[in-house]
Amino acid sequence: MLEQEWLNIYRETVRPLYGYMGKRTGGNQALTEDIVQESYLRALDHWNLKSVPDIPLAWLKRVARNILIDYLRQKKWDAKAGAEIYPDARGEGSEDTFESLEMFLAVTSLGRKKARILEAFYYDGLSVREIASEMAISERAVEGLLRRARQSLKSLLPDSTPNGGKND
Amino acid sequence: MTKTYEPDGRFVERLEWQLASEYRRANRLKAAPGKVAVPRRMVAVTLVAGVLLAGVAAIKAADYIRDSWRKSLEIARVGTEVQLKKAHLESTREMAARAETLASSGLIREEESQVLKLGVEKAALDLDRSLLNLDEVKASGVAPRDELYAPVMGGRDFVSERLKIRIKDVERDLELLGSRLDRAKQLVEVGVASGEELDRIQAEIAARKAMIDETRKRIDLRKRYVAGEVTAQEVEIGDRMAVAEKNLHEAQARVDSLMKQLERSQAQEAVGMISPRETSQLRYALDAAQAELKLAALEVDVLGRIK
Repeated sequence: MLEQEWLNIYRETVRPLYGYMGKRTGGNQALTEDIVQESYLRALDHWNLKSVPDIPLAWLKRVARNILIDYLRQKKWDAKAGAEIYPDARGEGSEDTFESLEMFLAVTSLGRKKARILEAFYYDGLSVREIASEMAISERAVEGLLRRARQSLKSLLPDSTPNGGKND
Repeated sequence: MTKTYEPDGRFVERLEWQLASEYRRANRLKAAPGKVAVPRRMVAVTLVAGVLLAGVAAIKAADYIRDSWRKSLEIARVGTEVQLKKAHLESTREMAARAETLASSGLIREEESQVLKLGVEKAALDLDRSLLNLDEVKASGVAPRDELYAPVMGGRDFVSERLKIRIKDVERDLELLGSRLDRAKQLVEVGVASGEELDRIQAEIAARKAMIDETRKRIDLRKRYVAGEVTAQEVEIGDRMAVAEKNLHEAQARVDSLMKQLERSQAQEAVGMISPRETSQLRYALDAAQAELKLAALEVDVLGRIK
């Protein structure tokens, strides 16, 4: 990988990656910046040893998401030990249910399919039709999945009321 | 989800700079594909060590190849010598057998047959010497060494073995010279030959005896060296002394012989049997022999002082 290629990838992906992560961190700027930075550093190590993936942004998003999940899980353990929970999570977006870190962690703790559909709908702002197309299922199936995912999430977060996202 | 999540411009710029720096740093330390990155110092030390080891290995390999090549060449050379000596021995044996048959039937003199028999023995000794050389070359990888301070090879003292063969060889010469002397005496007694032949043979016998004495001294010296009683330097001086003493004896024998010849020549010249020129030639030969005798005596004297 040449330096120019590396910088081009960065310039093309930094804004979508930041947006992707910002939505999941509830708009927490410091946390988002840290995770984006860490994702690129991991990409540099990995891509230098192997090769640049076909879709660099997808790779970066997956890594950034995993970093965030690891971070939140660690924080949860710390909270159980008595530490302040998500000290940075009470930022500008904390009013929105789906813009809280606790909510994101709850979403990721659902099954893979439910988490995916909730993230696509609420965090990435995809429509039912777009999700159906991406997952190669019917729109009705997407709606069913979304409904069940919300119910599961509700059982995990009884005080929260998931709403938002795009409706067709 | 109506918010836009845009990164801060300064963050994007700073991260780009950091990632560019990280990229350069990573690629400076990056090893070749498929290899493990190691510190430069280690690489340098390894390279230097590698070059040195490669150099030593190359020298050793070159030495080995050269030594191996030299050994093969030497074995081939001495091996050929052995084959020639074998062929020579066979040929001499055949000649001796024919001569014996002829002598028994009275077609040739017994002395001639005797000479050929001695020739067979000398050829056999020659072959023994060559076989000894071959064994030494195989053991050492180099040409046979005759120095008294040469090392013992594979538990065998090739130097002494060769010297013993030399004594046997000279003893065969003495046997032959003894026969010739007896024959010459008979001829002189009956007046067929002059006393000059006798003197010449006697001089040769004296020289051979001196050679045997010198060889025995060398064997003794060699034995002392192998036993660690004398140093290589002492061996060298002792060896030179033995050769110098042999040369002295030979020179003395030659001078004695020439003096006798000159006396006879002068007597014959006085009665007009030979020309003055022949006497002059003998005188010059005697002068040269006496000069050699002086030199030999001087060498013995000098070596004796060093000793």
